[in-house]
Amino acid sequence: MIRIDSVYKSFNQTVVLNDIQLSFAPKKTHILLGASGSGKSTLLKMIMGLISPDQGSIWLDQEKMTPSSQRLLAQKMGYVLQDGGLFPHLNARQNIALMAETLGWSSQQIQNRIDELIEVVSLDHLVLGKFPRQLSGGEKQRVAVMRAAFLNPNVILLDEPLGALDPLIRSSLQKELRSIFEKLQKLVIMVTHDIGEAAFFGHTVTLLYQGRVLQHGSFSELLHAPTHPYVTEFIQAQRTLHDLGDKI
Amino acid sequence: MKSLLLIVMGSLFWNLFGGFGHPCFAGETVTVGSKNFTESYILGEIVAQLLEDDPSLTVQRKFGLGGTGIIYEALRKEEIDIYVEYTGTITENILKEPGLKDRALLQKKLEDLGMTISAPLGFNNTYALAVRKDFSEQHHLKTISDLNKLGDQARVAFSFEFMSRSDGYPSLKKHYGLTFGKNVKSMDHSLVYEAIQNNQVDVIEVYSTDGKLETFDLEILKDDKNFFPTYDAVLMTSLNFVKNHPLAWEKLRTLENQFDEKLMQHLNAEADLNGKSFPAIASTYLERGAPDEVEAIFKRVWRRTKEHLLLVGVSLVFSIFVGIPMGILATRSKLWGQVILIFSGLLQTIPSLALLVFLIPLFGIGTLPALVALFLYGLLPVVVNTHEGMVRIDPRLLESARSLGLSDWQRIRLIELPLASPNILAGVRTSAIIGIGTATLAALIGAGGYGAPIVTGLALNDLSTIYIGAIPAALMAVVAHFLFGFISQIVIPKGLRL
Repeated sequence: MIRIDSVYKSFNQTVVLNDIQLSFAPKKTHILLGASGSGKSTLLKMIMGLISPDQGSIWLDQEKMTPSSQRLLAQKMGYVLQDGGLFPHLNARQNIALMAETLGWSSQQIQNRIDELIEVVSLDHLVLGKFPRQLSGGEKQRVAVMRAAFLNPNVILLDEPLGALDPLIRSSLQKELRSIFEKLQKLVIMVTHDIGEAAFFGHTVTLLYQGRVLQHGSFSELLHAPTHPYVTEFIQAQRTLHDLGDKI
Repeated sequence: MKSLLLIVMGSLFWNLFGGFGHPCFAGETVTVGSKNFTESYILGEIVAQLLEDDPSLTVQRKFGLGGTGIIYEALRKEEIDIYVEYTGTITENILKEPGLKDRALLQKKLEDLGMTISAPLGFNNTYALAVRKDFSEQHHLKTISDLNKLGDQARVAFSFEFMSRSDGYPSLKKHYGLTFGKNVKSMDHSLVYEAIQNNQVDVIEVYSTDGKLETFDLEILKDDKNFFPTYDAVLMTSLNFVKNHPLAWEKLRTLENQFDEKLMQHLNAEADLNGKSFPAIASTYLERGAPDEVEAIFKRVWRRTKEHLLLVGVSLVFSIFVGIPMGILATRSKLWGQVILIFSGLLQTIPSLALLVFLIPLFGIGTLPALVALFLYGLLPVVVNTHEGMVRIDPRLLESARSLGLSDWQRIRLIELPLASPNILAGVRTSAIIGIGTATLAALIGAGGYGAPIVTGLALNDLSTIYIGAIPAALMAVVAHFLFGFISQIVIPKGLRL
């Protein structure tokens, strides 16, 4: 369970997050939705402890995120960036096992965990010996998910994880990623600007606009019971094939 | 693991070359010094060979020291025990009392400094101005005053030292009211003969005992207004040496009044023009037959190579171990970053010879100050490149590292240093190449290396001697280039080389 309590943040006089009040239930997938500049990525980094709030606090279960608790809390969360954030000097296996090795896991423990996870993300074992620069976009994201899930954290955070992929790969990876989340049974928070992705993944969707939470609820609540005109505007702005009607 | 390897290599270097364990720290050793011109080498060699007659003494030679400041400081710090100096230089440069002519007073002032000199060896190696014979006939030049007939038409070349000495060109100009104007060039003394011979200049400064005066067709202009001080050659040593080695001092004083200008010109010509080695000239003079044949070239190059590798290798190891942490520290705070980058930049602006001279009061002469200077010189490229490499890391990777829960030190060691390794290695490579070049100057403070034959060769104006140092130094730079290509395969992680 993650709780965000009256959080404010500004950079150089510009307010980026304004009175954010949210909580996220365990084992569900939550979407932070919004246009660029809405503050969604800042909020995600703040949950990871990479940015400190000016006011308010963030809680992971009963523990407060502070600069001094960040290291230990970070080990209870996994983080996946848009292009994976894999270290180019380490091969896939070294990337995945890096933290476990510094924590002193035995090589047998590490191997067992790799075997478990590689099943979940359906990767070929051969991929483990390759370096990030030798991996396709889809492979990078699977490796990044393995790394994020390696220490068996309760929480996985993803910042536009599919944003850099081709549409075809993106669509097939969306399905896989959702089934991975179902298998892992973690609290997942994912940042996206894509309505379709929000609808597809989210048990809850939080729409942010200029640093404020406009609406927090299920996707169908946003669709059918918008609390603000911008909610409808944002959802309708992303046209689908249906909207094009007789033009096709 | 890699750092361990470096430490092991560093200590190997140390042991291979014997560290600082020079023989001068053992037993009754007398160290003879010389400056870096022919006459000083020859007289130094004569002194050394005379001392070697006493089997109880170990005689060390520190020849080719780069200038009065360096050699006098070495004598003061007892890095050398004795060398041949000139009375004019003592009054002008050491005591800074131009015009002091009284010998007894001179001796007294030196004794106040803990020094002493012998009576003159018998020749006066003063400065003089010279022109080509044909030029002097054409313009009727006999005296320095006559030069004023030329107005500002004369092309003049003086050595760097002569241009700046208080008894050099500035006062000469005033004394004679010379009007050379802007046609005065500064160049190394060994090159001025070439220049006048090739008709590139008309007036040069010479020493009155120059061997080249014997053969080059030059007219020495008379010092008609008595400007130049007397430069009587004398043995210069410390009172301590006289007290501790009275017999050796007595023996050396047999050299008093044994020379004159003609003899010295001849000895100098033997080296400069006839290509004889200094030991050979000295032993011929002392009438003891041919000395052991000069070291074979291969042995000589090998000895210089070891010295040079020691200088470059050890200083580089220190530059690496100090420079990388400094570069890292510079990325941790803005203030430290500024301080460190400015400091290491400033070091680089000090001319290398000047840096060597600054270090003499602290570390004396020889290998240690040379190592310190090369270490300081090698810092900047390592610091700047480490800093640059770390600053350039994609910030998303740094976020990624923090999100894993790695500690500061783990992030530096496991993520940042490996990612910055290509830059760091480029810095180390630059540092090594600079070091190989700069280390040739170390010979001027008695640290040996490839600079030693270069300095000797410059004094003799002998290209083949210069090549003995210059060619291996260039080769070493080439080898270093390829060596670093190989090292990069080991040090830079494979993932970054794809």
